[in-house]
Amino acid sequence: MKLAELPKNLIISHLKHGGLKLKIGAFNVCIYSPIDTVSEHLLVLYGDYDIVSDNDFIDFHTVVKSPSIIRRYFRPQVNFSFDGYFPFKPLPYTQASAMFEWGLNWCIANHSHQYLVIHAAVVERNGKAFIFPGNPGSGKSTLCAALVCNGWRLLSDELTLVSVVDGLVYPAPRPISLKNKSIEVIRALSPDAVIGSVVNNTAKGAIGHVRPPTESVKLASVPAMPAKLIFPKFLDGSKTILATLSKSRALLKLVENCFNYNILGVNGFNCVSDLVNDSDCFNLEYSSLNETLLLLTDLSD
Amino acid sequence: MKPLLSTIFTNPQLALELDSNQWDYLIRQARNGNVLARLGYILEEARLFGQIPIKPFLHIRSAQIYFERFYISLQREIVIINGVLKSINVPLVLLKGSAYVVQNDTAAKGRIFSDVDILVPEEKLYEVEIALLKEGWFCNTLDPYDNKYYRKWMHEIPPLRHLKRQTSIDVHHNILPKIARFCPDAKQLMANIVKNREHDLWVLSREDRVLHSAIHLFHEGDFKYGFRDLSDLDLLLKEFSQQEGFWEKLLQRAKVLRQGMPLYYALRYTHLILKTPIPNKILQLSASQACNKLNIRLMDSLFLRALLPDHKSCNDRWTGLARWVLFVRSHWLKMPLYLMIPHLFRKTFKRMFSKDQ
Amino acid sequence: MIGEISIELPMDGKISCRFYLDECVIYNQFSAETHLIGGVGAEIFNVISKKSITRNQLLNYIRNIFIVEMDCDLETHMDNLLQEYQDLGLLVVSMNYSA
Repeated sequence: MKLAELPKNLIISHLKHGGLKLKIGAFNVCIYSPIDTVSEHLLVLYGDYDIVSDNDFIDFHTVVKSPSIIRRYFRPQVNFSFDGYFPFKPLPYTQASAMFEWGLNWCIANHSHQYLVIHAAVVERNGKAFIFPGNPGSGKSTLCAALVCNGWRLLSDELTLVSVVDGLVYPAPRPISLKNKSIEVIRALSPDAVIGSVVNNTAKGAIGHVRPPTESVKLASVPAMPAKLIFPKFLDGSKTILATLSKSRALLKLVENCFNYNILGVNGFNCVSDLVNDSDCFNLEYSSLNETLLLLTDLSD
Repeated sequence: MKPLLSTIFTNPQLALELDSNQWDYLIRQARNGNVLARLGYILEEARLFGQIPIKPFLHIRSAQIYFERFYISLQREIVIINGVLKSINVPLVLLKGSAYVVQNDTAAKGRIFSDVDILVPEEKLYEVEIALLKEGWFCNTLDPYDNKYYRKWMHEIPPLRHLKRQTSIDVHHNILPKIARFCPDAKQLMANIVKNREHDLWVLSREDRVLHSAIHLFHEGDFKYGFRDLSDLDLLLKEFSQQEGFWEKLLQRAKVLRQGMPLYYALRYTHLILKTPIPNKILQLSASQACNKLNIRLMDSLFLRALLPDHKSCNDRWTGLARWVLFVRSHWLKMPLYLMIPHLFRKTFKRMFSKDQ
Repeated sequence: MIGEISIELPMDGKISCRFYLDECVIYNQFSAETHLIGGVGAEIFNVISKKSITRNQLLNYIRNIFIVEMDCDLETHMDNLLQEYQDLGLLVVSMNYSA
């Protein structure tokens, strides 16, 4: 049964009491939150996700709520916890939905060492996975959203999970996080895209989330073979330049973008090396989304 | 109600009968108690690894992968520290987790910790600190009160952190503060150290390793890793008691170091919570050796709560109070009243203030 | 007794190498460091990843592959590299004695 098939008041009741349990890619996530913006966020963006039964094992027990009764009303704050552990300092109450997404990213990045976890967006077309590693500001999320709005399958906008065992990319599709101007760019590019409430004044500016396509969520258990490793860099006014990157340089660049490379040790090194060996590696400089979309679509044919 | 974690640690075969919800609790309790990797090794030892359902298995493996990396980087850290101490002719005596690793004690399995603990003679303390500072460590504690707390009253200098590797080292000159009520004689400890030829360094003798673990746990105020430390004791006792005469030596050493009380609690609570096999005679002898022990029923009500993982599935409505009482007790043991009261005020105020931030 | 300097990867298997054209990437499990090495260094690892070699054999091999400028002291350069890599724990330089 999907979240959208449940009555709204039942969803809110789950969130406030036993916890709402969703299947997100390979992970069963339980969410407890009495906060309205969090329930709205889930209702708008997670409608296609399967509900997990009460008898199932839960990978991540998450709670998003105020740190104290005082902090619910006086300079209101919100905190994220993973089974009683608080990885972050509290944030302003209005950022609750964004905090949930960041918190879940933290859970996956720190507790899934069966994968090499890369700070990268990953999408798929024609059986080929295109991986876009990049720090904030590289434009990877905007690119990811544009591709997905153009029919590419979303595997993840933020955490690329590469199995250390078989080298395939395993999906964990979630709402795509956009910042500031990107929100309007994607709205203009794809008026049908469902974007949740924009959260303002975060450390990263304004944040909005794009609902993942139903088809991508449906295919969340289907891994993809890595084909292209592309390091994007958005530069206002630049031409669209896709330049081949040597595999040795790509390897080092990729290492810098992995969350758990150091933890995986030699298995991490082998996984990164294999990924670089199996993929064509590029640097991408761009400013025009349309041109870039055409280029990448050609590359996937 | 006995938490799942202690049941499975005591009898791993029961893991075969768990349903998904129970595995869920087990993994959470283990992670919370920092023994998730160790749970994996216990199940492996019991030849049950292949029968763990896939989802909990992945969490256990994830924790073990983290431990495997930690294990290698710890070995490197020990080599580097040994090099620094050799350059000033001070023998390296490793304590606790690092000692278990170099000695291949079963208690090393799955044990993840943040600092390397070493023991040096008090007169060499300054020299050792300078040598470490020269090699890239720096003092992590800037607060002048904390600095004074360590140097004047405690059995260690403030923790040092390495600038580049971000690893930490705790340099001790004793295993309890000098102002503690039952501070052992550090010279007695040093007289009993044992050479580890493979790594060219020293560790405490087996009995002293057990006693140190017991002293640390039963003088502690923060039981965040209480269950892990109890599990360490369980593994150490099981392994070392295979050697003839171990129990007698252990009791004797406790007498010499005036640590009858922590040993008694260690034996009592490993036996009660983890069913560590300890001969009745030894339990009785250690009880009689433990002077100044308070009403045992009261201590049971405190320790049988505090030594479980601090997870909501293990806590009852008295657990918070029990932990608080033991927190105060640990300070009473470590320092005289005239120091303890202002220290506690300061600590509580700091805790409240930083929570609010 | 004649002494020969031999160069090889550490026996404990903690060094992993991957080769790309004229560069190689090396992972040291002990230090958890990843190194990108090119030029003469990459050739050194290319050779020793297959088997150990003496210093003289290595020097001859390098001389045959690289075009060296007149005033360049390849021998010193190679020795400096070997020292650097040994300090990083990436290879072992030892003296072997045979009767």
